[in-house]
Amino acid sequence: MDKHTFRERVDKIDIPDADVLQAIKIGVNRAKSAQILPSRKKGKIVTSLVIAASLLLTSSFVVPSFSHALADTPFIGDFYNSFNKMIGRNLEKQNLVTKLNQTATDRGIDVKINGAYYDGNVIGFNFNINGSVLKSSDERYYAKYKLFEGNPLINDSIEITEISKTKNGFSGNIQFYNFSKELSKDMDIPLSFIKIGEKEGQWDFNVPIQQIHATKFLVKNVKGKNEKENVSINVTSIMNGKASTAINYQVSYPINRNLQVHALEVSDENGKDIPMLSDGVIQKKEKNSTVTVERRIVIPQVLNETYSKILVKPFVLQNNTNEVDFSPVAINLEK
Amino acid sequence: MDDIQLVKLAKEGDANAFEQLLAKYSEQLYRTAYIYVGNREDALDVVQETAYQSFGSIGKLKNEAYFLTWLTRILINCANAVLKKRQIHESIDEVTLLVKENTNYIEVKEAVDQLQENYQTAIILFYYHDLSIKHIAKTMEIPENTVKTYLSRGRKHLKKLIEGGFTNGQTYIS
Repeated sequence: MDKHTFRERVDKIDIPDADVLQAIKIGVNRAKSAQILPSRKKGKIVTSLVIAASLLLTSSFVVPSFSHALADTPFIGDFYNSFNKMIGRNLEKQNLVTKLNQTATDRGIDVKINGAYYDGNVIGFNFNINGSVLKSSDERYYAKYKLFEGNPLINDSIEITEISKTKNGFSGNIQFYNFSKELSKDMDIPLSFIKIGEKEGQWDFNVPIQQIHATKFLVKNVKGKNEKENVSINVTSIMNGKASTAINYQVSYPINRNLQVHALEVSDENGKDIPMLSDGVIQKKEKNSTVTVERRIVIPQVLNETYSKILVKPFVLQNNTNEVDFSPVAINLEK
Repeated sequence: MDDIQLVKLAKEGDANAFEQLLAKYSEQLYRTAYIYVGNREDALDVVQETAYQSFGSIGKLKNEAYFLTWLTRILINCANAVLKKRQIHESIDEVTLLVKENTNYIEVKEAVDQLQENYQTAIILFYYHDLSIKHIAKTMEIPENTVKTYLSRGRKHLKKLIEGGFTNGQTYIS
């Protein structure tokens, strides 16, 4: 192969110009503001896991004050009536929810997908339902759906979401998180409702989504270790979406100590919890008797708009009972 | 303003001057990173890390004329760090992504990947960066004669790999 051919082929690599320039800018800014990280702050962070778990379990979880406040907001309140829909609500305010008009009818019930969003970290759909929908035994209304045809390899691919009665029918929202290693830019997401109220049926959609640009900051030297149990954490990058933040991190631990990594606990520099939406596994590898889990936590706010520094520590249990002690490590957030 | 003036300003802490310099070479930086890591996300990470490390250490650059050589060395180190990490975390997803992203380029990428690391770097610097043997020697911190050997062997094996001299699964061992 000659030099010309080699060069010609390499020149076929597309260049995402804006992203490359942004990567340069971020790198330079990181260097400008790079300071030696402050020494670790001692102290216990109250676990946010219980709250977070509740948020993840079902979209019917409602924080009363939020629910009330959002219900007063016209239109938006219909869709985003619970705490874990903050991202959708925030994006709606920024006009970043793509309007859609896809409909499907079965068993006398019409379902219409009105909008979709993908803020870089979180994907969501808004929908309306018209028709005769029966209450569940708990006096609430639910819709059951499948994403990606219910692929068992994908978390939460079959779920139930609560729908809200409106003047003209029902409205609802589905939100989920992308835990693939690389976040795709554009996708068509197969979505099927399979039960609405008490009626089983089939309402199929292919919902197009486009990622709103997220800014990625690589993180250096944010590491912590519990020497006794030989468990270490390494925060690798932070992705700022338009309404959320994702933190990518790795936890490594010995294979045979019956350790379980549950989540990352995030707090402000005074130790006050910052609630999260989701914390999941991207991939898990075992090598030389060590397990390394790559995980991503999603937080329903753009952290660097509010905080200049946060503290993190992994929530790790041994034998599912004893918490492995960690001193929080600090992350300076780039603007 | 020429590169040397911009480098001097950058050494004094002028971030805009440094950004201008990097922007000027952004295509080359990105494509070189891509040759190593094979996907867009990692290539952007390598560029970001290169910008971070290079601005943080530009004060150590003694001769402004060697800025690009020095920068390329940092970029290659950053790309190799990503590859090293990937050896632990290689996933099927990434391989799939690579194939989908740029099929025209996959043939070259696969061939370069199969070369020994030193041959790889010499080939990329010579073929893509148009660096002279002298500059490659400086970038890789090896004698010029060694560069010549790497290039000669690398070229031979690249040719064989692309023209089908090796059967599937067979890689070159020096």
